[in-house]
Amino acid sequence: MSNKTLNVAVIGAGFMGETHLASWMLVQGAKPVAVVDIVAERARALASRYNIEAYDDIEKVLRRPDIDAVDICTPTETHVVQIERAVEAGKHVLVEKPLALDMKSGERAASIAEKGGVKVMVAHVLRYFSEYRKAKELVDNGALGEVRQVRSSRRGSPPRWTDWYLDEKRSGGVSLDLVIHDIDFLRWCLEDEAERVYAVESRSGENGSAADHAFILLKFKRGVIAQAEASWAQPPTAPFTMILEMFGTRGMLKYDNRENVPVVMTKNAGVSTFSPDRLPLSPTKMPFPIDPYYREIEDFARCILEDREPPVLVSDAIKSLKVCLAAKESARRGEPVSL
Amino acid sequence: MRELKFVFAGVAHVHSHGYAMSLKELKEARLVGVYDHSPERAKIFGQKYGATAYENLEEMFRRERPDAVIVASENARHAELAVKTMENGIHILCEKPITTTLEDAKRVVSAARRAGVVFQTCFVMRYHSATLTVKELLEAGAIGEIRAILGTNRLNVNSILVEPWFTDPGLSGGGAIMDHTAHLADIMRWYTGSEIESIYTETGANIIPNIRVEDNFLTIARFRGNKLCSIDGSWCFPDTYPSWGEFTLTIYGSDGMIAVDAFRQNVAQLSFKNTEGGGRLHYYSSDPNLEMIKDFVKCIIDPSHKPRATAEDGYRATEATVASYMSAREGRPVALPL
Repeated sequence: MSNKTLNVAVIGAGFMGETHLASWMLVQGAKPVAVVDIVAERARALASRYNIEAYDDIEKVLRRPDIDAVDICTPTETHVVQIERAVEAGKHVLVEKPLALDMKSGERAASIAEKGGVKVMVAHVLRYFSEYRKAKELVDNGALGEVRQVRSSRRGSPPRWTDWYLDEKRSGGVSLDLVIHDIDFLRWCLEDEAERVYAVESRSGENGSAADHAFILLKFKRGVIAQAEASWAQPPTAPFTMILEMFGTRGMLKYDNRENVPVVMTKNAGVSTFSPDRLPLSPTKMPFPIDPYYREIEDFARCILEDREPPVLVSDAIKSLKVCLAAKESARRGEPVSL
Repeated sequence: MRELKFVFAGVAHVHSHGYAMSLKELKEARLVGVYDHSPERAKIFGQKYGATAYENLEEMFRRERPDAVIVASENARHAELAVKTMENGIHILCEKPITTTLEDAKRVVSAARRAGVVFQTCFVMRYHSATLTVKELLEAGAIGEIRAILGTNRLNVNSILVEPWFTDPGLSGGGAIMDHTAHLADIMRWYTGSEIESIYTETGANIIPNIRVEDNFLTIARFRGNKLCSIDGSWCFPDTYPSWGEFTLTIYGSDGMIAVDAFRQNVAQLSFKNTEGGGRLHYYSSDPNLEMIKDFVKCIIDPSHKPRATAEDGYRATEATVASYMSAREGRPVALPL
């Protein structure tokens, strides 16, 4: 389909739906044409901002022959059934992480994706963040020698803008929804799999039923030990925080997004910070194709247009899911879980 | 659309490597030739980036019929190469400073006017995502009227010592003042929309032993409208500094301030002494070289798209640099225009 425009429908008009939609607008050779949300008003509001069509049911876009791909940005529990319906309808699929809430549905998604005849990719966006790519590059070219230990943190404030994150049954809490980013990154970066996981979780009670803080210890097959911290327990005034530290036989690397803000504006009303690589402020003036969401979506589009295999297959993503679920099991049982 | 053919006229400047790598990323452009007065340097560069090496500039123009020339020679050779390029009617991307003297700068500006080609000066900081974001904030009036800017663009001494010509006054035209006044003066002109009316510069005794040019200086430039700007482009970071250098701006407005540290986004690497010693910062964000060359290509393809930094902008920066040297020599503020 090299000379054809790739028509896309974004499923889910929430925060991530809009993030993806903004990126789709910039991808050459692709065109977002519709947005779907079961809350019709939400779909209409987002669609009108981007001047595209609104639907309240995914089936309506799956029936449209001119739509080539769907980008699923809905709550986790809905992912697998939508993947199944979209693949049956012959649509390519990009699906938000986490792929699923349990292994059974994750594996079902993998088998659907394998025999579907369309491209299915899981949106593990950390693989498209410049800083995490740089870290992988340093590990790959031996700058750290043999990696021995890794620490990562991912901290936000409680995601109260919607109801499902703070519902343990629907999001899996931080040990699934949040830490899966770092787990997937570590698997990709180290090119190794965890063989043992030990995790502790905490629930403040104020943040619904979901675990809002977790420490997860991993032992990888080749011996690397790693700690991943994940939290929704920060106060809303604290900035979203990502930290990565890797230690090896030749040296270490360190990244902390709070220290890496290139533009800080201070006014009487308060302080604003800008990391322009994350903000396509005005695409006409600043066409910086380095926003990780843009990069991810552009890569997915190219995989379809050039008939390449997507870099994050469902069969890969279920391995990250499995580690997270083992972490939750460990937290429940109070003992390490072998994989 | 056909590919634009690019050649280099001079590759002594280390930035030539960054530009060559950026060209590789662009579908619209292809590097075909390289000329340098040193045949050896042209040959090595050509082999590295897959371009034919030439010992004669005119011959390269005749054989390759390039659409665009990147001038990245030693500073003192810019003017001659730029003028020849434009006399051949070829678009030009010229490394800063466009020239080392005001007379040469005038020559280049008038050649650009006559030739009617696209002339873009490599004021790369007009193409960085951080500084561009700030430009948009300023244009939107986010901090009101600019009152003052403190700018630093200092270098690790290693960044200088890798290229012997940088410290050879006959080729570089000078030291740190010549090297980095241009970048800061330019971004300050771009942000304030104003021109320097007086400039005062002090140079310090050298930090780097046994070099023939100044390695540290401090400049105060007053722009029209009493906008006060401070410029420091010294080569003063020790060789253990973990990167090539920095570019920072603190901008004071009537309604707030903006702090910029353009190369802030790094992954930090620290190594054991017995492996490689010291630490390094690995920058991962916006690639201003690439954005600049993309914009240059766009100017060639679409004549309605104008270069963000012109020969005149190059002239103004050289004027500020020349005035800085005058001030340092004579111990007095120097009024502009010269």
